[in-house]
This record gives sequence, C-alpha cells and structure tokens, in this order.
Amino acid sequence: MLRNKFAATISLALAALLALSGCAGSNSSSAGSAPPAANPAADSFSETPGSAAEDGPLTPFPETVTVRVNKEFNPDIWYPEGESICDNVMTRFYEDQLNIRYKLVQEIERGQYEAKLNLSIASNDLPDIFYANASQIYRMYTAGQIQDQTDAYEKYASEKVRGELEVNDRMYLAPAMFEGRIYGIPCPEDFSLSVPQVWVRQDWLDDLGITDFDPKTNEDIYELARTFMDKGKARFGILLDNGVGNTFSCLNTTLRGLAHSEGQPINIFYDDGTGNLVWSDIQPEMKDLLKEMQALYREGMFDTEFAVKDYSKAQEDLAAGYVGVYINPFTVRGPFAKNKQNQPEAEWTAFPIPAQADGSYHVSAESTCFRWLVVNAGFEFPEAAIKGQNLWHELWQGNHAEYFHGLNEGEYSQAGEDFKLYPPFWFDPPMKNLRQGEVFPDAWHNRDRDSIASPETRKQYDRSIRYFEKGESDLYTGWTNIHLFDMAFPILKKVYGAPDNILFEAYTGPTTDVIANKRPLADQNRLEWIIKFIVGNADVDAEFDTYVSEWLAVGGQDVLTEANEWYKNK
Amino acid sequence: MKHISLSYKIFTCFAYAFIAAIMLITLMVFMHIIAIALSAAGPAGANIVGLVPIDFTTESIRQAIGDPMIHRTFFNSLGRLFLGVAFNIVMMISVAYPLSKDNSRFPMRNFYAMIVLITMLFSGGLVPLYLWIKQLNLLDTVWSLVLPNGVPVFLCIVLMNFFKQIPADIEDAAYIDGASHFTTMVMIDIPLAKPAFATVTLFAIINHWNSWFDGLIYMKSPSLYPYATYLRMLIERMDRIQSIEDIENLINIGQRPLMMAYVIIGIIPIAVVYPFLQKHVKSGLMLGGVKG
Amino acid sequence: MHGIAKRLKLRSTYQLHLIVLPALIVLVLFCYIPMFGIVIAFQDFMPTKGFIGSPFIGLERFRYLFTLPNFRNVVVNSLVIAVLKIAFTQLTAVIMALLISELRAEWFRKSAQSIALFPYFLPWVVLGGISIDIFSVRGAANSIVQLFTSEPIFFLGDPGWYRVFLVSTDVWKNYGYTMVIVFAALTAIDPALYESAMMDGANRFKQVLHITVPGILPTLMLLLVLALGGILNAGFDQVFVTYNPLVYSSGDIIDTMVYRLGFEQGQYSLATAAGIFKSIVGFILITTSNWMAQKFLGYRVI
Repeated sequence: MLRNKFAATISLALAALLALSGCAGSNSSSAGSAPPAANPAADSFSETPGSAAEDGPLTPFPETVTVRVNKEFNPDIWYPEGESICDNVMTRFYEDQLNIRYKLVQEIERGQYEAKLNLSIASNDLPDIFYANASQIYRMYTAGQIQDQTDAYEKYASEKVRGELEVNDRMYLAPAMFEGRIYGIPCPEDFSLSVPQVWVRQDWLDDLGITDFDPKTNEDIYELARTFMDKGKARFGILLDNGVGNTFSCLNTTLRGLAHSEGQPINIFYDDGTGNLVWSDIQPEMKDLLKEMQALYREGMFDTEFAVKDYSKAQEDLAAGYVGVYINPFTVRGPFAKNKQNQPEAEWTAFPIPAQADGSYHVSAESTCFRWLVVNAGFEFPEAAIKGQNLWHELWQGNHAEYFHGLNEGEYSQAGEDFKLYPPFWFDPPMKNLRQGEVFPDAWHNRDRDSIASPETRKQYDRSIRYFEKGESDLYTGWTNIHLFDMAFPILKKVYGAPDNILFEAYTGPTTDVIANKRPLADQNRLEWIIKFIVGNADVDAEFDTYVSEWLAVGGQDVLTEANEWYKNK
Repeated sequence: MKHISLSYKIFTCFAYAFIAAIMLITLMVFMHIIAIALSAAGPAGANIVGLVPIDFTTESIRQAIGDPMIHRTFFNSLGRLFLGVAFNIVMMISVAYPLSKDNSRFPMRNFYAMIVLITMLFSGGLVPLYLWIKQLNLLDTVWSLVLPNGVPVFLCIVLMNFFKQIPADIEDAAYIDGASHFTTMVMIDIPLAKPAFATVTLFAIINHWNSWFDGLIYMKSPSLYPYATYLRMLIERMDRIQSIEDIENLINIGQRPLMMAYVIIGIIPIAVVYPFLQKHVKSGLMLGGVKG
Repeated sequence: MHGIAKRLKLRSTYQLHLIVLPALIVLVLFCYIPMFGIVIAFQDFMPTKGFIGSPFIGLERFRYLFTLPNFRNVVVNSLVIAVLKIAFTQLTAVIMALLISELRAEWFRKSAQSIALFPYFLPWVVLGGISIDIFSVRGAANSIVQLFTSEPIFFLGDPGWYRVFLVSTDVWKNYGYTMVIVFAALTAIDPALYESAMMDGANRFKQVLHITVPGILPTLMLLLVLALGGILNAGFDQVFVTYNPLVYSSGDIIDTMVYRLGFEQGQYSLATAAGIFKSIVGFILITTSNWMAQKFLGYRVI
C-alpha cells in the first residue's frame, strides 16, 4: 500500500517535471503575440463573410460562444431553487439574446478577488473575460496576457454605453489605455462616490427642537455635533475611520467635506493654474485643515480610537447610534438600515457641505472607476465583452429595463438589490443617479408615479411606497431609498450642480510602473502622516515639511513627475 | 521535605494565588467568547457583553449550525485532518527514526538532518509552490493541503528526541537476536514512543485544523474550503470593503454573536481530542540537546 | 564484547536509508523543487514566459527592496518584536513551570497546565478582535490601568505601547506550549539529585538554581536555536489583524510588507526577494547559534 503510494508519487514527480519544462515552452509560444500585437482571431472573425453587414452591438453570435468566467462567491445573494451564480434567469437571457454561454471556472470568496486574481495572473491561469483593477491590467498588458479591445469597442459599443463611459474626456477609459489602445472596458460606479454630504440625525434634531440647522460654515457642523454630545445623544461628534482601504473611507470624505469651504481639494491631482499638476495633500493649505482636525480630536469630536477602526468598524458605531453627524456620500444604505433596526426611531437627513467663500461649489472628486472588463489574450471573441455590457445597459436602464426590474419586483423580489449581480458583469452608469435625483422628489411628494419614466426609479418608488404606506418592513431599500432619492441625489443635482462644480482628479493618464508600484507606497505614507497629525502624535507646524519630504521620497516625487510629463504631452 | 520553612509556605500560597489568577484570566477570555455567542446582536455589537450573556439567545448557534456551508467545510476539514495527520505520522517516523541514530551508527545522518532542516528556513514562496501544485494537478484536491505540509520538521525533532532517549542497549540486543533496523523500529521503538506519538499527533491535528492560507490559495471554490479558511473568510468579510456591493451589504455588520458561534463550533473537535492526547504531552514532548 | 560493538557499528545502514527515503521524496517534491522558484527574485518575472523564459535582472529587486524607505524600519521592527516575544515566552514558560511544579495539589497542577495550553489552539483571526476589545481605551485592560493612573493607555494607537500589546498577548497565547516542553524536561531530571542536595542542606532555591536550571538548559537551548531561525517571523497573523496607520512605524513587519507587496499588489518578485532575505538571516543565526551552543556549552542542539 505504502510502496504503491511512493511509487505513484515518484512517477507523478517525473511526469510533472517533464510537464513543467514542456509547459514553459508552450506558454511562451502562446504568448508570442505579445502586447501591442492585435488579436488575429478578432480580425478573422470580422472578416467572416456575411456577418459584417448586420453585426451590431446586440447581434447574437452565429454559434454559441462559451465564455469562461470567475465570480465572487457571496452567500448573501438569494437564488431560487435550481438557479445558481452562473446559471440563472439572467445568464439564460444573455444566452438567448447574444448566444453567449457563461461557464464558471473559479469562485472567489468575497473580499479576496484582487488577491486571488493576482495569483491567477502570476500563474497565467486566467478566465476569458473578467474584472481587473488598473495595476493588474498594467501587469497583464506588459506580460501580453490580455488583448486589445479597441476594434471590438469601436465597432460594437452601443451609443448608450459610449454615452455613459466616455464622459469627461474618457477619464474612465484612460487608466486601461496603453499607446492609445483600449485594454479594458470601464465598469464605473456613480461619479459622486467620493463627494460628501453632511448627514444628520433628524430625530435628534426634532427631540432637541432644532429647526434651523443648515450648515453654512464648518463651525455650524461642529456646533451641532457638540450639542448632540452635550445633550447625551451622541457618544462622539463626527464619525471618522482610519482610511485603510481608502477608496470608500469616511476619513477622506470627511476631510474633503471640511476642507471644501477653504477651497482645498483632497486626495487628487489638480492643475495649479500654471499648467502643472500638483498633489493636493502636500499643499501648505493642508496645514490649516490638519490643525483644525487636531483641535477637534483633542476636544473629543472624534472617537479617541478612530485610528484603530477601519470603515466597517466605524460603521458599527453609526449602526449602534453613537454618532449623529456623518460626512459621507450617499453610499450608506446598509449602515443606515442597521441603525434603524437597532433604533427604530432613527431618521437621517442630508445637507450640502458648506460652500466656498463666494457661495460656489468646487468639490474635489476621485475617479469612481475601480475595475475594468478585460479579455484574455487567447480568447477568440473579444467582442463578447462589450456586447455583454451593451446588453447589461439595456437591462439596467434601456429597452429591457421593464423586463429586468419587473422580474426583480416579481419572482425575484427576494434577491432585492442583489439582483443586479445575477448577470455575469455589471456597471453603474456614473451620471444615472443625477437623472434619478431630478425626477424622484417631485414624483414622491406628489405621489405621482406616472411622472417617472425610468423603470428602475419606478421600482424604487414602489418599494418606498410599500414601506411608508403599506407597512412592509423593507428597511434596506424601502426606507433608505428616501435618503438616496429624495435627499442625496437632489443635492448632487441642485446644489453641487454636478458635474460642472466637481473638480475631477486631473491625472487621467494610463497606469504605469510608477503608478502601479509607487503610488501605493506614497498613499500609505500620506495616510500614516494625516492620522498622526490628527491625533496629535505629530506637530503640524513643526513636522509638515518632514511629511512632505518623506512623501516625495517614498515615491510621491516619481508619481508627480510622471503625472506632469503625461499632462504636458496631453 | 520534613521541615517546611515558613517562608516556603508563604511562597507556595503566593504561587497558588498567582497561578490561579493567571488561569482565571485565560478562562475569562473563553467565557467572554461563549457569552458573546449567546447574546443578542445589539449588545454584542456595542461591546458591552462581559462574561455573562446579555439578552440570552441560542439563535446564533442555531443559525451557524443551519448554514449548509458549515457542513461542507467541516467535512472538508475532517477529510484533510485524517489524511493529513496519517501522512504526517508516516513522514515523521521516516525522518525521526533514522535521524535518531548518531553519526557513528548512521554516517549519512548529519547530511539528511541538514536536508530536512533547510526546508524549515528556505522556501520558494507562494507563486512557485502554487504553480507546482497546479502542474501536478493537485489544485482543488485534498492532496494540496496534505502533501506540501507533509513533513512537519519541528514535530520530527520532537519525535527524534524521544527515539534518542530509548537506550541503545535494547536495540543492540534485538540486533544480536537478528532483528533488522526495520524490525526494531516497528517492534521496539514505535511501541515505546506512544506518548511521543500522542503529542505529535495532537500538534499535527492542531496544525491541520487551524491552517487556513493553503485552503484559500489552492481551492477554487469556497465549497472546497476547510473550515478554518471558511471561518476566516466569514470574519474578514465583515471587515473588507472592496466594492460598492460590499458597502450596500454592510447591513450584515454586527454579527459578532454569529461569528463567535462559528468560532466555538470550530473549537469543538480540538476540545474533543485534547483531553485524550493531552495527558501524554508531558512525557512525550522530549526536546533537548544531546550532550557531546 | 569488543567484537559485538564493532559489528554494531558496522551494521548495514541500507534500511535506514530506505526508511528516510519517503520523507526525502516528499521534501524534494514539495520543498526543493518549488525552491527553484526563488529565481523569480532575480528576474523580471513574466507569467507568460515562466521561470525559464523570463529575463534575468540580477540583484535589481534586492536593491529596490533595500532602498524602500521603510525597509530598514520594517526589519528593525521584526527583530525587536520577535526577540521580545522569544525572550518573554521562554521566561514566562520557565517561571510558570517552576512555580506550578512547586505546588502539591495534583488536580491544580493538571488543570493549570491544560488551561495554559488552551489559547495556543485559537487562531489569531479569532483572538485579534477580542484582544482589540480588551485593550481598547474603554476595555478591560484599561480599567485595571486606571486603578493606578487617571489617563487610559492607548495600547493600539501608541507606537510604544503597541509593541507591549503585541508581546504580552502573544506570550499569553503561546507560553503554554513552551511550558509543557519545560515540564517534560523537568520530569526527566533524576530525583536522586534533589535528594542528595537536600542531604547537603541546600534549600529549595539553591536546588532550583543548581539542579533544575542546568537540567532544563539543553531543552531551552534547543528551543532558542530553533526560534532564532525564525527570528524575522514576528507573527504575521497577529500583526495583520491588529495594526493600523498609527502604529505602522513600530508594528509593520517584514511579513506584513510581503503580504501587501505580494498577495495584495501582486509584486511577487519583490515579495520573494524579501523572503530570501529573511531565510538568509534565519540561516546565519541558526547555524551560528548552533555552533556557539556546541562550542561553549557542549551541546549539539540539532
């Protein structure tokens, strides 16, 4: 028995040794068509006689195309009996419409997607079409693992999708473009994810009889937070986290909200007016903000231990009802709903952040595209990616929206908001919520459902009606919808006047070696210093220059140089 | 020990009190875990649960037991445990017995010892090992969890030291009676080393039961994860925010009682085998340099 | 008699080779073959080209690694944290073992041992969150601190106290393991030694100093030498689940850096270079300490 096992092990080893050397050879040959080389398969496909004439954004493939995909495993998503992550009503719809069949080759536990994709990249074991972030795309591009999608995109991207993705000088496409070619289709989120609003506990305002709260200055916000603490409502004034995993951190949005009235942008590159790009967080103007934050910390405005808490730990404090002032964009469905669950009396209201001295708004905003859809270099049908996204847009906002949202309200109501994760890939049109904010408030207050054209908005309207008028206990959408649609989106639309008053991240160039490898080091250094300044472990006047020189040394200088070089040649 | 001095009496009193206090702290941590698991989500999330459950409920325990993934991953873990520990034991014998001979009796001994020890220090790192496991077609199989950890060097040293304590005379006598190395190993050394086997088995079990990173790396679907990997993913899932979907799902925060229920379920197998093996640990954990 | 001894010495060893063979095969297969993967530290590794086809770039990665601004800091942190952990774990284990062995109530000794070993079974991902609660400003540890001072200690946010937090919780979790090993060594000491010492009028303290300590020294030496091999492993899991930006300066260690570079950012070549650095340091320490133990104390540890 034992001997057999050893014998088997040895032969296995020998076979594997041979396989390894053989494999390395075959790998290099398959990668022969290195980065910039166009994909021969794509060309041959478009030359196929007869198909070119009628081949549009949503034309089905003549023969069923099987696409190998990976998906995030998420036990919280509900599927009806007999359906699963990669075999459900939506994937079947894609097969009907486009003749694309999705085959699941890897399920990745939620939260581990980027790390496990890194491993797949290093072992060159990639699916056909998949999400990747900018630095992963850069690495795969240099290694020749993904293919140029320019031709497929130019030929097949529907007008609607282009309209959503090509806003603001193609800022969403740029990080995944190399030498002018498109290597990734952006899957952006709402443009305003990093644009803050001031959220306040309305029920506490009511209890304390405060009816005239309307923050014109930062001091107004602090005053309210102090009142909440003094009257025993709140444990600390303003919610703050440590900014780790910083895209969604409330550290950045809070800094941004409080810096705005001083005209100081946060965490972006911007043109200083001389044609040079500068990095916001090392500007001398930051000193005032940091001193202000330090004074607030000393006063007890923030949780003494906010530096220990990451985003989700901080949200637990919000859910527990410890805090009544929260400077954040609208992405707070979950925590608000949890708060309402813990404290049924809880109500929240949104206000615009204080305006600049002249009453105008120039809110700085980071790019809200974090992932792109890429196509494996060896995959024959690169247009499957963009066609899928075309169909997704039709389902989410276009011609099939009635069907999609109808299902979501009907048989698939139990899936809730997660229904959008049924299709293989999804993105949120960045400006869509502005449009919703325009329509919803009037329709809601007049109970005028018919004035809503978008099936998605109508769906949300119905959910809120069911919560507020029919007593359905759907906190997560029914109750929070009002915060999004009636409070947050109208502020975006009416007050910030977006996107004109939004100061977008000015570096929209391609990802490079420096951006991919040194930017994370510089970002970590920034975070470390900012938190040190806030809690008073470092003196702002004495050590700000040390911070700046350290930030430049760890990679900031390289990033700046590179960004400026790109900006000059733009 | 006839005349016990007063100072020694005082000393022992203090020793009792001191050790009792330290053990109490340890016990309190476990009581805290259990108390959270049996509390309602609200007070647990607010970090006000001490040693007694607040708003006692077994809901979390029931919810954890009802999770279909727990059955699957628990089963996966048991599979790797039996296979992995059995394999470990064979490998440990394979290393420990020959290396327990000293250099004069087994001239290659130091060379082999070096080969074994080097693996404790050097490794190719994550990617090469992953590629190699993939090459061998072991991804998604229990063998990817068993084979790379097949030779636990530290435990080999423990076992080797125990073998070394066995007087050479016994073996020599057996040899004169015509027994081969293999026979002496099977008939004499292994039976004598029972406490040592109990000890290394206990630690091999713990290693396999608690290791999570290999499961995360080598398994392409969560339904193949061992329990430790699944548990870690559950706990991390509460913390990791990578996409907008994660934020929307933060409705799930404040599940501490549920997490602790999972933790307790995860401790059960260890708690079951621990008393049986632990009593041998004291006599089995022979470690020490050899004079000379 | 002399003839037998000679025969024993010359006894054929082929069976011993045969017995060790299976383990060697497994080690070669799953340790030595993947070890060739360290070439990626000297390469501009391209997944599509593999280990053989990727271009070699010499020591470029090491140069980059050593010039990373926080590299020196990270190495120092790893060393300091690991040395403190090794020292205090051993010290605690020895003291606890000696104290417990002085006690006469059998049930008390047994349960103390069992309880002491139990935290060893719990992974850090579980203990991390609990220890953060206990050491938070409003936590249990600070209610004890406040018996002595009015100011609470910010264990998790103060760079100095963070190390105290790391070391003390790690010692609490792991000393039981070492303690059991020390116990085993204690039982191996010949009781006759104590009896003759008592005859000579040595008190309990002197007995401990002259008999017990030398008796367990070889065991401690072995543990120490093995621990030195892992001197740069300052405990990834523990740091990873408890650190935050305020304590990066004192708590960030090589392993957490490697995790960020490799697993999170996918710079595997760099991560491998850091791994090689760790291994070499460990190798040098373990061989020199082994040599020194042999030379000055006369023990062959391994």
